[in-house]
Amino acid sequence: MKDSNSKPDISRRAFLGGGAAVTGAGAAAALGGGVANSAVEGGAKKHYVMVIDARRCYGVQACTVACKAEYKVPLGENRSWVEEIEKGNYPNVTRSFLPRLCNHCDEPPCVPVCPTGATFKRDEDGIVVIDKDVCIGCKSCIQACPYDQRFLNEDTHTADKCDFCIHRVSQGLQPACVEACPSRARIFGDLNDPDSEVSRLIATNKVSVLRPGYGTEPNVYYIGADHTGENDHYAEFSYVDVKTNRRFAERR
Amino acid sequence: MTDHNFWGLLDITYIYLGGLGVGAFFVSAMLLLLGRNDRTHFTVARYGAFLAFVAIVAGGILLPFELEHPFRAWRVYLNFAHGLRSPMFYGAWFLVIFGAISFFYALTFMRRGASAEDDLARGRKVLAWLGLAFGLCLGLYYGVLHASLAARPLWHSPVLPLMFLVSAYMSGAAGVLFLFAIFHRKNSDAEVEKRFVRRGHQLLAWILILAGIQAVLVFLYVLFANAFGSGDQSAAIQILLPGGAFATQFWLWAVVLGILVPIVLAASFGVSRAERAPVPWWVAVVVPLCVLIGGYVMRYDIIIAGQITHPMGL
Ligand code: SF4
Ligand code: SF4
Ligand code: SF4
Repeated sequence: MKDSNSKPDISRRAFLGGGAAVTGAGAAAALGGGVANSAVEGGAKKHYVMVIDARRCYGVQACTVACKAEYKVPLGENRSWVEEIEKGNYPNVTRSFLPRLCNHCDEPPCVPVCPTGATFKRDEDGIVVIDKDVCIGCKSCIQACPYDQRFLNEDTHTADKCDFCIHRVSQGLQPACVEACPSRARIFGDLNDPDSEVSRLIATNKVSVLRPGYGTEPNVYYIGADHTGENDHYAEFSYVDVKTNRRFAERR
Repeated sequence: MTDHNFWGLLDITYIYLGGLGVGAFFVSAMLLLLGRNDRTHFTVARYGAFLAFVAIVAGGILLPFELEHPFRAWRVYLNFAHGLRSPMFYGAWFLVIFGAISFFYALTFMRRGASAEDDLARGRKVLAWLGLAFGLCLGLYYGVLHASLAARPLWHSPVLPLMFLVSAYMSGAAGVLFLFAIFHRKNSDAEVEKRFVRRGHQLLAWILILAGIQAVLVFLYVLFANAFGSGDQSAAIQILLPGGAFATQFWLWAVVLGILVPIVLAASFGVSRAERAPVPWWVAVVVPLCVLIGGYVMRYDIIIAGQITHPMGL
């Protein structure tokens, strides 16, 4: 499947011209559309979000591996990873998992700092992308993301991060991490479609986003996420350990 | 730890040299504008003009090496459509504009027989005013670039741009005093030499005033982050406070060596002996060295520690 996918043109010119969106929708229609992206044919604006049901995640890292393989992410870097939160004092202990990826924020602090316009939020679906042909690698956006989602790709020498698998979702497929998850902890879809699974989940569950205090308005929603931070043991007088499987073991 | 240093030694050195250029220009322009047509002002202003240009060019040479794709850097300059909210867009423009001004400004001092009253005097003063304005922008930019990033709590402080700016002016004054101490030869005319001696005291006095302001700014910076800042900021500032990983170098090198020692030396050898003896040779060398080293360590500590610290909780 992957071979038949052409990478979509994510340059700003192309989508401002309006042509790319139409072509993308056409291609998706030709492929028969996907389950989660039934609205792709319409050409209406999308609002892609991911809902992560942390209660279902058991830390198997299938998403981490799928994402890594999908993009040949250089060694030591990840577009997505799963954090492990261990806390409590015996016998009251818990262990939970928190899958992480770019939040495709509605107010992304990584976008305005970019001096070249290489990174921007797409009008048609809200995905925050990086144009690898424009990025000069100044690393401003890496510094600006409060979620530590961006890294410097040593192969392309540009900033890099999750792009909600544009090349897949524009063809009506699910993101690689969503498809790989054996427990359906990751659900992807269009929030503008009131009948989509994500709309339903967000309407009927108590959801949370990460670091809401930063005003970034994330588009990755969590159900049952443990927001305990590595410093919270001061407040809770209990053991807390947060691990990531990135090169830097600590969460940032 | 170092994994997070996306901005490292090159960037710090660039920011440092840029600040030195801005500061040297400031000192030079102030001497020129305050000095009316006095030739001792002019001579010392010349040191500043050259130092400003050399520092800004040296910094400018480093800049492309910090980018992963330096040959695309032109995109920044043409990015009027999306760059207006990016500090780096302004910084890039300030750098070339200030660089050009300092080039022409230094040129006016270069030609044979240049003096305070030659036919370039007017143009030189116009350049001095322009350079002061754009130097201020560039000097503030270095701090704003960092301070605007909420995701880096140690940087996200309104005091940081002022600290970087004052440090820039301080290092400029230090650099000029250093060159003055090294290159100035006693003038045979006692009247003129007396005025030269006063220039030395003047530079030392400026360092004293700026260092005093800087001491207050450092205090405010730490106070704001620790007491009034968000939880993220007060958690981040601990890295600079006693017990923190950067505490020793920050307080010993940046504050004691870079600010307090110059204050003590300038106060005891500069102002108090004004009009009497020339600034002792060793003071005119030691004070600048302390200021220059302290300014570098200050930037190093804040820029590196700012990338090690991060928001708390999730
Ligand atoms: S999570 Fe970070 S990289 Fe992604 S859109 Fe938000 S600020 Fe930008
Ligand atoms: S690294 Fe690239 S995408 Fe990020 S701010 Fe710089 S030019 Fe923009
Ligand atoms: S949506 Fe795609 S790029 Fe983003 S984390 Fe999932 S697999 Fe990786």
